[in-house]
Amino acid sequence: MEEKKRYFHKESFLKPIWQENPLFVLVLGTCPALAVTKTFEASLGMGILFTFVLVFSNVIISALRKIIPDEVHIPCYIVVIATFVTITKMMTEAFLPELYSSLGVFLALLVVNCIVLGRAEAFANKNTVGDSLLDGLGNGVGFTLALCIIGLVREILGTGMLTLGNIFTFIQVNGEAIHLPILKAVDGSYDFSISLFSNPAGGFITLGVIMAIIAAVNNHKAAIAKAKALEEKKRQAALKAQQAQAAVGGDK
Amino acid sequence: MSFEKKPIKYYLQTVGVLTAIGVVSAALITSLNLLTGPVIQERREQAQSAAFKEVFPTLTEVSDATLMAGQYVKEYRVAYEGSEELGKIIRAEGQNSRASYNLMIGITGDGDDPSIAKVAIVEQEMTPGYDTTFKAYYDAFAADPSDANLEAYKGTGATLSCGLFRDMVKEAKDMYAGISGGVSEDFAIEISTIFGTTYTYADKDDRSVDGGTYLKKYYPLYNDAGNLNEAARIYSLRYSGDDGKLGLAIGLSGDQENPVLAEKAYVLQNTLVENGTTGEVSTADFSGIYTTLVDEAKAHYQANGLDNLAAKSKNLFSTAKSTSDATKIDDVSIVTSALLPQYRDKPFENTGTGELVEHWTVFDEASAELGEVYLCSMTLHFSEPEQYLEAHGDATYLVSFSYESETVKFGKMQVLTDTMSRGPQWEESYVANYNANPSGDVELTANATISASASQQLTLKAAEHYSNLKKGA
Repeated sequence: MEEKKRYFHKESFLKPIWQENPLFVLVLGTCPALAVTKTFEASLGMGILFTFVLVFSNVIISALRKIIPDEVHIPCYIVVIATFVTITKMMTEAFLPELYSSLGVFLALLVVNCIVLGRAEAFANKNTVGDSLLDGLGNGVGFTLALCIIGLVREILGTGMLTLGNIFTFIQVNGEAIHLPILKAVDGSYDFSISLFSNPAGGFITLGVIMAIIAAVNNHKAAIAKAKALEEKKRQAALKAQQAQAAVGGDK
Repeated sequence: MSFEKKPIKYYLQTVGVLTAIGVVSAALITSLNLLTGPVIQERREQAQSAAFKEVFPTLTEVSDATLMAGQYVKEYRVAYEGSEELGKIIRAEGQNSRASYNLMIGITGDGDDPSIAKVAIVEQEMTPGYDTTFKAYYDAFAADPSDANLEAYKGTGATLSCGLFRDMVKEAKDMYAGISGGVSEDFAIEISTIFGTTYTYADKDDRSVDGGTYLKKYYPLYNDAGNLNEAARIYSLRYSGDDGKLGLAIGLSGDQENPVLAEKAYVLQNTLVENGTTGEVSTADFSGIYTTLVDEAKAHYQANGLDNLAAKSKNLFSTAKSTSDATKIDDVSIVTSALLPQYRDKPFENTGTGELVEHWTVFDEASAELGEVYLCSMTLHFSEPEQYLEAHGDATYLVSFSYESETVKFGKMQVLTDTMSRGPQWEESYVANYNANPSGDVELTANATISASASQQLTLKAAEHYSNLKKGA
């Protein structure tokens, strides 16, 4: 029983990171995923803030699950989530203004984000505070990872370089952001960037391609597992047949 | 339908839980606001102060804001260096489908002759992809904040984003007059007073005049829906002397050589006489300084005739002197074929339309026919899969032809309006190549294939129309 519980804790955290990734597998939260992933830094920032909101709202909703009447549970969740989004918004505006302006309205829109509301309704509402915390953390990390992958691809393909320090100014060197030239030289001597990837259409294309790759990997894994299971079934059947034959021979 | 009766305790619990969550939430946010509020406020003030300093680097003090009710202009402050006034800082906010700006516009000079010191961008949001284009436009304007650079938004390829910036700065400049001892103009009132509803005008289309003694600017008026054919002008004139000030708006129309003064004019300001009134006056009564002002406007009109289609078409023939009246063309149009072979079977919108609007004949000094000019208009709606909505927008242009040895000869082309997404490339390469060697098979421009192909098809249609016309004649 203890072992099963530990397994559940582990699953709550690990599953949303890859196997049930909210963005790439469940296709939830695509609005911010397309809007704020123009740069890697904005994607990372959004992911961190999203994780904060999701973890705390999951924990509070789980803690209050027994005293919140069923009929008003959605309004209660919204108030709790809105509180954490407002806190996040105020803190970001005060202490990370560059991140605040790069996320724009999409930070406030976390109030109605389907992942946050969905985890509150589907998980935190029914599970312990500890599991809800792990579930929030797992989904947050999974979503952040997904945003960062899209942001990284879009920024490199769209601008030809990776820029660090525009939003997280504390990593600037001598007051300047760090530009890592990948597809485009800083002096402009070569430029293989594709500006389309900086546009919303580029976000759609990137998301679609990554989802296709993940689906292909998952399908491949499932096919291997299915083949293995079939093989095992055949082996078991052959073994059974052998045993039956041996039993008949013995009777003789 | 029946309702389950619930105990009072249930309702108390429901209300209690919701209230408790609300109260705790409010308390949490309020206390956090005490912490972050001053930081946010300080940051905003710093950004504002930085913008003030950017506009007037030597300023030492700024007055409190005074509210203004413009479309974009929200408030203004007076900037001082010690006790000396440097100018006004006008804050403007605006947004359209492509961009939004929060600007601090520094303006100096006399109310009737303002000049932009600097425009600081406090906040800016833009459709991805247009920011580089806007930056090039803004940098050129920041280096030399002249009217010419402000008006250069038309050729940038980001007309909406740069045009909004231009409109905001222009409104600030116009409203500066009202807060700096100048005369505020209300063009809608002036045009209706002087010309009634005879002409149309484009919003914020006034043109500054450099070097005029009394003449500061004029407003072109049009007699066509597309605002291509300038038919009259309203001139805005200012007199300022020891005897007082006079602000006057007059209307001129007619031939370049013999401008006709409209019967009515509009007095914007009059301190030449005690209790001088403003409003409608009859130009028949003009004398003295009024006549002097009118003469300067007439001189400008004669030197810089109307920018109408006839004048433009004369530029297409080196020896042109006059033109015939325009003849409307009905039902001569094209629908461009799918232009890029690899996309022909793709389910993307892949068309454009064009039409011949009207044509007229151009004559030389001896009234001999030089050729024909066609007004062409085209609209593209092309979405291609790899370049997000890259070929769309409208363009109008004039194209000329002559008829020699029973053959139509292609003449020069002049672009009148161009809001096409690939317009700059089309103009810089295809139109330039066409004008260098006019023909019906000029090579299509690689970066504006769709725009160039549409204009080529339309030009060929015009050539065919002219050929039929001549053969018919």
